[in-house]
Amino acid sequence: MVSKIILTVLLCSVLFTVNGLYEDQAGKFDWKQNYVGEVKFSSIDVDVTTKRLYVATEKNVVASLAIETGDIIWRQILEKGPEGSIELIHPTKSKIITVSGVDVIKVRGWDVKDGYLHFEWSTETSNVLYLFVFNGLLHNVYSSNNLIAIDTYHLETGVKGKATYTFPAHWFNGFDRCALSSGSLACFDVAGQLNIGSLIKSNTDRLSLDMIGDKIVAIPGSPIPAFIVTNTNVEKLVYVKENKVQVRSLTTRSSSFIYTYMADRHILLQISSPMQDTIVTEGSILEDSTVIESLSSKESKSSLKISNPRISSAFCGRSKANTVNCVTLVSTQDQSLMLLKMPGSIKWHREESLTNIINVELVDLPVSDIEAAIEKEFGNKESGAFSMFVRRLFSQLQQLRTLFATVLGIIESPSETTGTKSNLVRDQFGLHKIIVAVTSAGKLFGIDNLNGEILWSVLLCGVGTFYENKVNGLPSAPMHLQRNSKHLSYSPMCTLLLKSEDSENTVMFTFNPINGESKNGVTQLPYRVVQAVPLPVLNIESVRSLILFDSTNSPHLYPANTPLSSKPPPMYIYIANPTNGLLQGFTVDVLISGKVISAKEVWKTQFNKPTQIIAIGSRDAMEHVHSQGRVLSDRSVLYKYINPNMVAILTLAPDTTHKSVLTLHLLDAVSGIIIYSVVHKRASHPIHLIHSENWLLCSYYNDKTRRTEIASYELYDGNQLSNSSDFSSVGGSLIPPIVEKQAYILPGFLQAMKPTITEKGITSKHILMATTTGHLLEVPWAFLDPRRPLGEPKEEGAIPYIPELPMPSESMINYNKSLMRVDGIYTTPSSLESTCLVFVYGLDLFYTRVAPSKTFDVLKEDFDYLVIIIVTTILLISAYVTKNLASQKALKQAWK
Amino acid sequence: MTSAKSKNFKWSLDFTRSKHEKSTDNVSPPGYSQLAGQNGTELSKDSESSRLIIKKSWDLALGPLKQVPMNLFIMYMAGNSISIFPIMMVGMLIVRPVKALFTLQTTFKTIEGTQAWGQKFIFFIGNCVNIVLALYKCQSMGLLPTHASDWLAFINQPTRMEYSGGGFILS
Repeated sequence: MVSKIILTVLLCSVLFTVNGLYEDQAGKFDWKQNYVGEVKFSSIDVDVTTKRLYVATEKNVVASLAIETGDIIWRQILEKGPEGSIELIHPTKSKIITVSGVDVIKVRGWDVKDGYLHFEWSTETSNVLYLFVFNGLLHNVYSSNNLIAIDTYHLETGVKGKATYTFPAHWFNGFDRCALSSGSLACFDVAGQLNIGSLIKSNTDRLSLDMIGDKIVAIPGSPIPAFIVTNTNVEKLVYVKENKVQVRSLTTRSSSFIYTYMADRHILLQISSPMQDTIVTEGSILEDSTVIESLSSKESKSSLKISNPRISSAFCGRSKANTVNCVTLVSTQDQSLMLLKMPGSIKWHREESLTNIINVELVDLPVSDIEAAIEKEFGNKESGAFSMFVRRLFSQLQQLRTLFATVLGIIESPSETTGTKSNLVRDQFGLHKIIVAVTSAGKLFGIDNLNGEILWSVLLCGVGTFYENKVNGLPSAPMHLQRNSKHLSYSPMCTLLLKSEDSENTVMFTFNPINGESKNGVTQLPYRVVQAVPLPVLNIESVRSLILFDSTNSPHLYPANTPLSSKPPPMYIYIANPTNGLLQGFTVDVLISGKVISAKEVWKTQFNKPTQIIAIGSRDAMEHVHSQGRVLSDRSVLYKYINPNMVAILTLAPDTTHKSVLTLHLLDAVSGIIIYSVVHKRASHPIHLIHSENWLLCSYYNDKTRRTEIASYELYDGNQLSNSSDFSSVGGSLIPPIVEKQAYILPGFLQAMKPTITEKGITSKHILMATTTGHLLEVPWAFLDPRRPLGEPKEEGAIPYIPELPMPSESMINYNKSLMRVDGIYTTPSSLESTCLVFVYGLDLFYTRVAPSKTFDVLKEDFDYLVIIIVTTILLISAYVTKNLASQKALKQAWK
Repeated sequence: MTSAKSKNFKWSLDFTRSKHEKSTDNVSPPGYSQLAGQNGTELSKDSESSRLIIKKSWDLALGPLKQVPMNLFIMYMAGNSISIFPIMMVGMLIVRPVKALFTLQTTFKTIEGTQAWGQKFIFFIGNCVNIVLALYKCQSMGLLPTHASDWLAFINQPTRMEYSGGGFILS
């Protein structure tokens, strides 16, 4: 009983260290942006009472947007991956019906007003070619036994229709050569004929046309069967009207859309973007090619960066002045979504590519002009005494002026205002930074971290394509901040590694992370880079050079031939190849002159098939470890084993008895020695790995117990410090470290996991976990400590071992702002030791800051400055007054 | 007459004495007694006071040692927990003997004599004993930086001799 009480008290005392948020703090230093993803299907509802857009996206999201503003009214997220991929949407008067899934198609009806689910039914299918809706029936076109069969289902109930139509399958020859539009299938046959047949009725005539083409694409959402046939860069529009095939040639390469305007008249809308900042629209009557003047426009905006616009849906009407007006929803290749009014302009613009962030960096802002002037004053040493004095006076005058201006409220202090370029300066605590995000759509963004405003964007169109992550098949964008904002005479510099579009070589894209500008930023390298590692020393231009390893394992330096500021220490580079399981370590000689001599292979490790390397965990290069040991209850020290060269390699191998075996190897990247290995049986995806200080966390799904477990490891040197002054992986003692290990159960499923990081590493570490329920959990590392004692705690303050990790609602730092489909968490230190900046990306963007040991270095927000000022002034005044009174009294006494 | 002579009263004046008989001793004035002014008692008084001084200075010298049992008792009563009162007591235990040692010369300024050196030494030893006791108390309270953990914060992060980097092959 007593032990239970002690336990509760201890737990409570630990829980209090978790930062809860007060109600009035919500949204004060955090923001969240909701997105829907790249639009796949859409429909415009122009009903005056609703005025909404319905979209279905590549991220398996069904949402409703307001036509006027583009804000999300409701959003429903379907299953992740192919099970939830939306194949079709069908708007009805009161419902939006979606058809999703691959092998099991699920049909769901959503309320247009609030997105509530009205009905759901599912059916198993296979070999589905096309799905379309006609007359309230869902037509499922599939191939079976050399036939194209069509099943029909009642859309709302799922009742199967009477007959299954069949067609001979011989003329379906691939999705490139066939297209389905408005219930009609058009296919090229071998003889070079285009056959068009309706799939709605089994007995319709087949139309055919002599036409040669490379590709046929259906015009999406067309009310009549309409296709675009491409033949050696010449596009032709083929459409069926009144059972006759019509062909119309298109002049410009543009996206087309057909809208039923009057009973027998259709409008052909076309949109193109000859340049990144221009949108050209054209409108004509489909039947007689009459150009509608009011729909033709050309708009240029320097802030606009678009490529390959595509009309997703449109609505046209006749205005009072008897001209045709259209509203079109345009999606672009860079995954942005905009509403275009024709005639008119862009009403709103959404950057949906931010749902596909593949790499993030938070970059410090440069110092303000005044501070720069002061820094320059002290930096310039060769000038004479008088000029220095003048400069000093001048800069102080400037400081005084800004002080007055700030006090009088003429300009606001830089920390409060954001957005405008002049205010992009570093604040005192380093809390204001710029988020540089690379998206898989090939667009770079600079986002203000205080309010989430997009400051700049760059389209990587024509620069290069992304590398591919061989482990998960997603694009990867290695980005290195080569020069930060601390060097006054140089602008900051960030480099992105891309693959060339027309050869196997690598392209380096260099840009300024503060404004996105790139002057001569594209460098074509004559080789293919397989690994890039920054040097620990800067070169004379304050650039952190990169060692680039090409495919023949010879090293290069980028920027080349610039002397370094000091002799770099011995460099070791390891490369892991997940396709053949090879791990190699190289040593590289870098001379102070900026020349790289050669690379020698030092070690090699091979993981044989079917073992696959799935993750590598290395410590954050910015991380500092403040305490070199851990104090035990007898006041002795257990020294931490902090090997900066140690990396954790996770491998997964299928096993006959244990399904899959997860192995964690701790490897010294310099010597190639495997320090420690551990095996987890029946462990499977999702797997996340964290490596920080002297500990590791590995989360996996345990197939046996069917739950998420987190294995925690901690490495110690023992009671004696081996070498206090320097650490070397070679030539030192080979005493293996003591490994403490323990496993914990997480009552939930993880999407991402990341430790907090602070500037000096004094603040205790917390682990941020994004769960599938949309919570962002802040768990103190003390809960995941492998040294949590079993049984009675011997050490003071130690929490006894309990397998389940607590998930208190106070430690959910995103409170009611659920974060769905989290792809990653980025943490970076601020200049305040207590505070760590957190950016979570995925379907939603969320930014906040956390203080794991509370804000011990800042006064509280509700600190009463007024009272302290009043009290000190009163005390000062009263001290002077009483001093005078006392001296007067003493004088009088003396005269008596 | 002879009887009178022999009697030699205190208050009698003998004018009969002849010239030759003039005694060597002059007659003391009336009311004057030679005994009253005798030096013998004065000498004895002198030795008594110096004995007292020695006694007193020994008291002073032995004072710190006499405090030891009392200090031990206070230490026992204070306990080993770290809170304001035990800290104040331990502070007093340390500060007092240290202060006493610094003011050693002024304390023994008035005291002279053959034993002064010994007294000083004893006084010094006594204070040292008190300091040692106080330090022992600090030690048992865990206030002395005698463990490796107390110096942990001063250990710097070791410098890296080699740098490493890398990761998955870019493809």
